[in-house]
Amino acid sequence: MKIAILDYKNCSLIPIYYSIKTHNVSVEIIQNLNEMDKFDKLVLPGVGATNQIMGYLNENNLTDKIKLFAKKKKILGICAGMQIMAKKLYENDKCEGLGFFDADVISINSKVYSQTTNIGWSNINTDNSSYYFCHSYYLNFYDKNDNEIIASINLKKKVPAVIKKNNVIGVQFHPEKSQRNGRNFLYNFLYDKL
Amino acid sequence: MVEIFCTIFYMINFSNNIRIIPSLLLNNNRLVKGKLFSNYVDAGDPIKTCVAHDSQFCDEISIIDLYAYKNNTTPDYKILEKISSEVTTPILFGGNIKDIKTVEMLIRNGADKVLVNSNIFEKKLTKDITNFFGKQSLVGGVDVISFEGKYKIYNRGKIIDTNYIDYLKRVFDQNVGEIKVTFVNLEGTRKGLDIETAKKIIEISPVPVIIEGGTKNLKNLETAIKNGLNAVALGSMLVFSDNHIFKVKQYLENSGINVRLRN
Repeated sequence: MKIAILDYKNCSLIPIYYSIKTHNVSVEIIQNLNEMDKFDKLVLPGVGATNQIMGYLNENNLTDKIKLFAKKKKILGICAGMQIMAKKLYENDKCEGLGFFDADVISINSKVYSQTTNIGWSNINTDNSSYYFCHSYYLNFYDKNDNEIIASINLKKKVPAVIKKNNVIGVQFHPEKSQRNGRNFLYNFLYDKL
Repeated sequence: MVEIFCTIFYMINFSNNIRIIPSLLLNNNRLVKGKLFSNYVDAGDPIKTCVAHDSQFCDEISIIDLYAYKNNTTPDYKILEKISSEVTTPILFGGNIKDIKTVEMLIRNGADKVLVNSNIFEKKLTKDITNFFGKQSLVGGVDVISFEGKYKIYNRGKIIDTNYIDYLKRVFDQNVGEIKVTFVNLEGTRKGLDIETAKKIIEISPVPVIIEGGTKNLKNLETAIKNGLNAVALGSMLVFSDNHIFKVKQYLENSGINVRLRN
């Protein structure tokens, strides 16, 4: 099995690289998607402002290639890499996302949480397992009961933590920074157990 | 009665989000620990130390590159990369962060957030960080010092502001996603956290607050958390005593605090 991590410059790479490598699969950090057939799965890493990431993807003609990849093979988006999977993104300058999910990315406001950032460990509502979250924006689904929301965390409102639609999976938390639970999550993604 | 009230207060506000954060000072491939921002002594190997904290499920690790700060050099990405190859714990990294290129390298190599202290009012820097990486990756570092009975802001050996509340408000205006406040007079002394002042800071903060400086013992930490300090960085208490993360968290759990003992 060969896994690709897309390097869009302003992102975290080394932790996810080693977190995947530990599962005895081949992993490569790539700057373009010219050799898509070589890879079985694609990871869109986290830590970055979503408008910057989309700007980079559009400039480098990567947006359509990611959409094409998703038709055939699995993609995992982490944190900002998950948020760009939504339709409209409102971080810094408003922009269009990849549009996989019927949701917009909006800032954490007082209706959602008592603070403007959610930093730390939160338990997801499915099995109560804890993961590390570090975000100031979140996915606001058009339909709150959308069955593409697999797991959420309870702030003042429910905030999506794991989303899935066909080949596309997004996580608001950082599996590469979530110790044992994160390691198990990545294993399940790599071996198609999600 | 007061204790019961404090427990209820803490449960409402901070369920499942207590963070116990080892605070590490990096100096040329070694860790050091000081007292009152000086008198540094060797405190071990950085990678082995991070691995140990990680295996005990610490909630985050704070690393300040003291060498970079003192010698005006770029922070040590190489050691961060090595730590990231073995550790899956979130990392806050600081030390002479002056430009966006440095931030890019730190985040690439495993920092989840960067701590900016002396350069927090460098508009271009803070704007670049929040524009490229989002505000959650920018942590404002604030060092307070008690002087003539009042807290003032301390930076590189000088008092730079006499009103710490005003100063904090200006730090929040830099669009920080979190702040880390270090009590300089208490740092390394184990005299006990200044819970009252910390509470005041937390009350006015729109973002999470990490408090560091002076944690005396486990009981002191328990009282602090029950009073609303939900992210505490520990230095001396972990280095120069028989306390370790698992023991600390086990104590807190036995005190009725909802910590993440394992995952």
